[in-house]
Amino acid sequence: MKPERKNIFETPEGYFEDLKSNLKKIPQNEVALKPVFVKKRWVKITSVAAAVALLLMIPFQKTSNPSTETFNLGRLSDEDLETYLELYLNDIQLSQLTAEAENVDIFETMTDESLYEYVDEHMDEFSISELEK
Amino acid sequence: MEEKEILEFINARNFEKAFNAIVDAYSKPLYFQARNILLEHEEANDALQNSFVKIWKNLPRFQGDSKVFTWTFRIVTNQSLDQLRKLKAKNATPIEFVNEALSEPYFNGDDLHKKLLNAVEELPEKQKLVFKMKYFQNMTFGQIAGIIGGTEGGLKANYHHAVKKIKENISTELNPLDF
Repeated sequence: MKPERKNIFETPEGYFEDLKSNLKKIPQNEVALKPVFVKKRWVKITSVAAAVALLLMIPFQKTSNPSTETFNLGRLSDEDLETYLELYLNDIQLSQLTAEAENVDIFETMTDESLYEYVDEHMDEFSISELEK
Repeated sequence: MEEKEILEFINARNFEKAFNAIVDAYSKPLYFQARNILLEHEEANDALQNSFVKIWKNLPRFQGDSKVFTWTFRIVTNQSLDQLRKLKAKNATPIEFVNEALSEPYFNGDDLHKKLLNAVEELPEKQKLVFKMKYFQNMTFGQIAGIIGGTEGGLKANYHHAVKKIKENISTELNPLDF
């Protein structure tokens, strides 16, 4: 025994005719939603994305500039260096400029011959007490 | 009225004509989709009315990603399942739900159909839906996949498991059913 594949669900008489006429009244009673324009939405999304990408690049630009300038400093002409120092001197402390030189022990790198020459040339500047050290 | 004509109305932005064409073409199969899920006529009628309001409201936003047939069936199926959840909260067991639904005058089945519907209600939700759409609505697995999602292979497996469970459920009293 198996169930017959008939339509086991009935409807009231004339139901579908009434249903159709009732459903067709919906457009008069309900407001349809505004259509979504996919292309316009994409233009909006890409514009916002481009603006965000530009904003994100600003910090990288700021941090990358100083290192580029330092790297190229050795290749600059004297004139360029002067212009640069005039422009940015306020940002550089004098102590920073002299720090390197102060820490270098020039005598360590000198040969014996040049050391003797140096001592001869500057003998007058040394006091006896300094020579005894 | 066929799918092609409905799409032509939509593309011409003549939404009222498109809507009326949908009502003419699909209101009957959509009603039986709701009825198969909800069993009761009044509940199916409510689900259908609410679904058609949604169809009308969203018609200008229809992008043609799926067929109009599939899109409308998806709306009715979701609406009916929402209503079913509320209905089931009022009934303690699936048998109570089926017996109450089938006590109305618009049920034309016999005891065997009642037993079948009781066995179907015992199935997990997805198997139940796939079985009803395939067995009662004669839909293809491709159509079912478009409406409720999933692959055709997966839906065939769901249907196979559903049939097996129904047979086991009612074979104690009856000969195995031929699905």
